[in-house]
Amino acid sequence: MSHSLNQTTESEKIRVRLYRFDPAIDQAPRYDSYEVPRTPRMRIMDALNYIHEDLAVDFGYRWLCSTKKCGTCAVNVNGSPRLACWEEAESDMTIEPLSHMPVVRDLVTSRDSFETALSTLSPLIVRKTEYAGFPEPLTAVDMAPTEHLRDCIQCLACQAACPVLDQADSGFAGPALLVALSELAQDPRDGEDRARLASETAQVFKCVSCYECERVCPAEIPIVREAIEPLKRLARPTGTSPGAKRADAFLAVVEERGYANGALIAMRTKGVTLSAIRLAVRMALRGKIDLVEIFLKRASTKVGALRRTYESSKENK
Amino acid sequence: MIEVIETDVLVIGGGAGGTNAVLKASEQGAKVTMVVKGLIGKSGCSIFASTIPFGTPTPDWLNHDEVSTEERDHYRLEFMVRYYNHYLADQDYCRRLEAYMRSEFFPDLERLGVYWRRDDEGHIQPTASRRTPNLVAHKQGASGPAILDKRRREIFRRDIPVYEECAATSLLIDDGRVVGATILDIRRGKLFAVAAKSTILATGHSDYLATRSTGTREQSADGIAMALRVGAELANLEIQWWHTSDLSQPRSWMRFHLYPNPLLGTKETARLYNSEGEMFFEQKTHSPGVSAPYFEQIRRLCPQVQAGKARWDGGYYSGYDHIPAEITTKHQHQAQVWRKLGLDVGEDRMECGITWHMRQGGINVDTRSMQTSVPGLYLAGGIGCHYLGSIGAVSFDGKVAAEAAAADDERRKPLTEQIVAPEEKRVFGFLRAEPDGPRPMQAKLKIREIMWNLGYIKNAKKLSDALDALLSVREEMLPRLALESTSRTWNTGWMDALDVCSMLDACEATVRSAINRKESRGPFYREDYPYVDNEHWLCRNIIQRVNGEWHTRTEPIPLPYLTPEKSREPFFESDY
Amino acid sequence: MSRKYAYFPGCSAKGTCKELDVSTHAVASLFGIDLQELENPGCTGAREFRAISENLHLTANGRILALAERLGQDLVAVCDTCLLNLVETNQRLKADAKARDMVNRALAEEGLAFEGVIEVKHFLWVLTEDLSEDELRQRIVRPLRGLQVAPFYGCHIQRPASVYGADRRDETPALDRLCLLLGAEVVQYQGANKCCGFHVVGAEEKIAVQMSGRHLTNAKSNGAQCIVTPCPLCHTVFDAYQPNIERQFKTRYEVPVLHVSQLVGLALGLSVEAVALSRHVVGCDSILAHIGYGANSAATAANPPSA
Repeated sequence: MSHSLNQTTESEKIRVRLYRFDPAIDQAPRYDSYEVPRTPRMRIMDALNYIHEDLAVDFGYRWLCSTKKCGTCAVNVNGSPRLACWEEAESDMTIEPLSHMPVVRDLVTSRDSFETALSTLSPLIVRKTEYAGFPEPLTAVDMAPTEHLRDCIQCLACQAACPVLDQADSGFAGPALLVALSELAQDPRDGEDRARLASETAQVFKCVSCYECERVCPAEIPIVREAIEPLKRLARPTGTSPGAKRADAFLAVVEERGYANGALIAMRTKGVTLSAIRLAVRMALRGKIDLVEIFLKRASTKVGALRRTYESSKENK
Repeated sequence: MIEVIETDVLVIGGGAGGTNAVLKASEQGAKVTMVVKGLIGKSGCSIFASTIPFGTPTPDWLNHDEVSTEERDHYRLEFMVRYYNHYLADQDYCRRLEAYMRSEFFPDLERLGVYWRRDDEGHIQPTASRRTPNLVAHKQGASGPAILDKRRREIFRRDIPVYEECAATSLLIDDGRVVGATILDIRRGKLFAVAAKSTILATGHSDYLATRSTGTREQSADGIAMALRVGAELANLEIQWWHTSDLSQPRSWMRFHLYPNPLLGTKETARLYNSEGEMFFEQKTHSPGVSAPYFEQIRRLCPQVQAGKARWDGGYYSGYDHIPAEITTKHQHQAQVWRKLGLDVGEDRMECGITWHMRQGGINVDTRSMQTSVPGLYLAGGIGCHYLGSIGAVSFDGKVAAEAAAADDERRKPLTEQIVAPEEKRVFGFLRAEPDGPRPMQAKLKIREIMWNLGYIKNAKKLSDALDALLSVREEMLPRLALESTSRTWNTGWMDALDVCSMLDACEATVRSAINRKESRGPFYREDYPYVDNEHWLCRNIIQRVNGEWHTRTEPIPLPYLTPEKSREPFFESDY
Repeated sequence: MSRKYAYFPGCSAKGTCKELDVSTHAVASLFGIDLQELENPGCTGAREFRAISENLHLTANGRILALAERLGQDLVAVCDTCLLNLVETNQRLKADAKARDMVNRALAEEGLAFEGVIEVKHFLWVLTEDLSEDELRQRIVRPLRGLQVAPFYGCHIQRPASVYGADRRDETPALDRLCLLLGAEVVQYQGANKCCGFHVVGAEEKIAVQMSGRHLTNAKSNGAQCIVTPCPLCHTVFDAYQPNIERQFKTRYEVPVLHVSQLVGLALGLSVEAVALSRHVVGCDSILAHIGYGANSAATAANPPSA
């Protein structure tokens, strides 16, 4: 079966609203509108190229390979970060630069802060033992945990999508950096202190587990489960951040009470602060937390069985 | 005067050749400066590498069939000289390259952390080929980025100054010697210069010169043009490879290549079918043992086009539907294209078109030192005429060039206003705006159309028409080019204008060179000279421009190890 | 017709959001749905067990699934994060024999075993997929009179696609459809499918408050009179932490937050007590006023449940 042209009943013309802004000369961004003829299997890139080439509009946009290898053409389309060469064009597109990065001009954003952040994470393996020559002892099984992570082309769509990075002072490194760090951390040849880098430099516990990164990743990397959670597991035992402490507190409370008592967990994570007291009082007044229950240990043989099962699972291979 | 940065070794180009040149030069203790028009590891041809040929002799652990070391050695050399370069390669260079591939290339990269694919027991997993085992970095079809990204990180780790998204616009010459280059910072629109003791050009062999090309966006043959302008000799520019199994639709996917080689872990290869569903190419049948059968693919496509059963830009198909889908999707980069389009790689075929790909020819070079014909100017990789390219070979070149350039103890000369001013004037001369003037992009499209129309089947008239058309662009379009704005910040039109100049120089030289070569060879087909002529044309077809005048000469290629059997044979019967 | 499900309320519904448990049972019984609560199920681990050990996470969830299998029914959850943990683990243990064996070794001591014979669903999907629209429509007593509702789905009922697939994202998502069916109007706003930040609200409050505050602002400026959510964790951030949000954003919101079962219950004629509305931090009087609650105090079902 041969496939050439798409049979399509979609509109013949694509409408594009294109963000234009030159920080050197413009007061504010503007949006220019264009009509682009639809072509078979059209990508967002095809629309942008048409505007530049056929309509002779000299707007700034970055692309190099156009085949999902270089990762430089990601832009915001209708509010979502998309790799322009990989994703299909939609009938109506508002095309803007990626969020969370300074705009150089029009659709071109600066990758500098990503590169700078990457350099703080020791981005090459630091060998435990000296390299003894090719081929070194290594198996596909050793490298399986990082198989998908190696598909990352640093397109930064995930960085643009991450809601924690909406806050410029969050301290969170972001998913793309965590993927890079996790690839190194799970490499059996690496002997660097990745736990510290994960916990303190990248602040991995600030990940909210929203999966927005996965939603936009063109390489379909299971970022949360395969990159971020392994880093959390690595960092947690020695981590000093509240996030690291919360996990242990959480498990301890479940093992004591048979369920996750939110107030108890909060107390053991952050201690007793004014804000916490205010919250606790407010919730107690509404019957949302039972102060009596918190301070009364609920003895139950059933909890013992639960705890033993949890314990034995942790030892399982 | 513009700002000048001083360095020992200037490396222009960020692919496998440039990155290795930088690393090796720094290991020699030289002060190195790197300039890259795109981004290291994200542009150029290196990122498209699927697999890397390992070479011979093969140690026991590669778990191959019983082929003796001598046989393997012969196959390897035969592949390099005959199939990969149509006897136009420097054979002594091939032997030296072979030794490098055997002993240095793979360990160098593995040391940095590149994962050369293993099986579950830990054996290296090559793609199936008795004669030329190829290794995979991470995944078949995605070896390039896996390799280049590690080199990129290592260059930054060493704090080597790198100027990315900076285009070299000219080589600076003083008293016949290259003394550095002018560089335009694309982001800021700032022109600066690098004064160097030696300069290594590593700008690659894959340029976006035809309507359908594999060259990445920024590759406009700047290296060829800059060398030409300082009077360097160029050779065999007309020996230009085409891809035949690149996607036809969508247009932006014309660089998506359906590799004709065996799939990892199997002996199966993709097939090409004409518009009537008849198979006309399969590597394991038509080019067994040749893991880069591109010249053969297009040669077999040609009669299909002539019979109306295919076009150059579509109407023929490639597919893996004769192979179980689990094999095609395992450790393979290409299968995702089917998935993305909602198609089934085990059932559906993709429409294909040809694309202008790697150039075997380039700047003339002495491969012992990678020196060009101009003092102070070295090269590494596909930009040279000595070997087609490939990540391993260009890395070797980078090392050789770096060592020679670092050892070149010519004193660095100061750059004067007189040396840089002409280029300043030329570059800023394009920064003029007119609301309705012809845009540089239109000139670019015109040049690409001319080269596309020239195409695969050449003859004297087509070549002469192409040359006239290029000269017409130069004389009529170029002087009138105007931009949308004179902003210096990432001014796309301005960059396009400079690219147009490079493209015109390179294409004109290429067409002139093609007019000279009165034979057909490898990917170069002339219907008015439809035979391989080893008696007259087993040589470097050299071209040079000095003070606006074109000079040509030929230099026979020494054949110390392998010689073609026939001195002359019909092109369509030749096997190389 | 009676429908039976195993029921896992989760730690929130048994603790800080007891109103969710109460209202879920109340709504279920209107339709003759039998929710059999699991005994001593423990916790799915939120995002915390996964940060400790993958085996712990799989075992804790495998245990809950095994308990449900023992009741011989599909499992219903009322919390997005519980749902994700359970659905994902169910898929994983069904497909991965090695993981399944590991989990069953740990469960053996309690005489439990995961077999992979049930499905997991959210109570929202029970209402929108297992019941017909007619069944719901017939029971509406208090149509919501165009109440401006901002649905907040919560991340874990819709992502990642690798767990939920693309088929969950139909043209009009489930909660939107339900609100429309009940006579409400659905407010279009940016935050509907975004993150509330609950999983860092304990450790990094400022980040979560900033995230959810933006959604709240967005919803309100688009006319929302209330938020409805299928997740008690999201509920906690928008309701219990609303004063914190107000402090950070220096704004008064007064946007009440309802659980799905509460909105449904009110429309179906249940009383404020039956849906435990008083357990909220942000008062719900404005909603009650809008839908005419109390105007007709004989709030009985228009049609009794069929036998």
